[in-house]
Amino acid sequence: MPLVDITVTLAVGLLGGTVAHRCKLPGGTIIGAIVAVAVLHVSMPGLEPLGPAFRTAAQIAIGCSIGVTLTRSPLRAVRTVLLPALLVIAVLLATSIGSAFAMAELTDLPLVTALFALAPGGASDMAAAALQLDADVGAIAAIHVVRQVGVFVLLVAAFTRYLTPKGTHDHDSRSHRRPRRLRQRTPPD
Amino acid sequence: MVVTIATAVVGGLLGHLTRLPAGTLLGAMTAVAVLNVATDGGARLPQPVRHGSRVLTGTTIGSLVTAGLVTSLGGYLPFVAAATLLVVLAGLACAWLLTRLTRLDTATALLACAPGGLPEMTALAQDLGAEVDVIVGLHVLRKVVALAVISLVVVVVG
Repeated sequence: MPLVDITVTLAVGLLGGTVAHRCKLPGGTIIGAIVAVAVLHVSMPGLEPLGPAFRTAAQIAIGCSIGVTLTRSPLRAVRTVLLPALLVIAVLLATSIGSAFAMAELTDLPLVTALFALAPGGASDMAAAALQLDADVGAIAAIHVVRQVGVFVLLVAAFTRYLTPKGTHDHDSRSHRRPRRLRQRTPPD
Repeated sequence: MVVTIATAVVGGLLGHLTRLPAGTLLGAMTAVAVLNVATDGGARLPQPVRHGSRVLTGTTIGSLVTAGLVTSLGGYLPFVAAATLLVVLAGLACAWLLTRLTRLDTATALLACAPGGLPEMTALAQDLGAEVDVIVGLHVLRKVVALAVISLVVVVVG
């Protein structure tokens, strides 16, 4: 891939990721970069995809990002509810894997692509994981984006509406409608 | 930060040698996680570096999108919507189960069982006074287990 194409692709990715991050969109940086670069590559079909070195670097980067989130404190907290937590994960995984098999059966989407596309993980993790395989990474990322927006719209809206902050009374209807402003300290997207 | 990145690179390359699906990612993740847990949070990745790694990943993935894919995506949408609804319902059922099996409150259970959106769920958890550590722990564990299990399933189904 020519150096100019690589530079343009990376610059557009940086711009898309930064804008999405600044706008605090769900999935932020990664989704912004994916969408911006996808638009660039679809509108300029002559551009080649980034090569294997970038795919390896992306996998290492995402693996590193997930690894640093695994600290003692959340692990200790989960240990207190480990068996039910594993049961929950098993149910979510079984639902996703079942859906993937059904989707591969009912559409022309390959099974490996469907498995990663519907897995209960992030768009970046699953798409990056599939970079090493003969799967349609673009489809995995796109389906995850749609899924993520769906989950975000369904759950965050419902939780914001119906869950009450601790210490407030149920009859305090204002707390249902207007929860306090979300704090800024959030883990990586 | 240098140690963390070096650990990730070594782990990633070792994982790559295993030729497992997603071996590079799993190798880097495992190496950094072991370092982080062993040193009690010693693995560090400053925010700009995290931002850069996400941009790199997003850019690499985005560059693989083609016009043909965008056209074919429309046909998958009903299935994706159905699968999303199903997994959301499964998450709600799991949350109910978690409140029955453990001492966790409803807010913590619901946010912990949400199938995605960790930053949003954590922000809501802080706001609602839910148990953030349990929520983060369960989300990270789900992500790690999902990556490992899906890679294994891919090996099995070929």
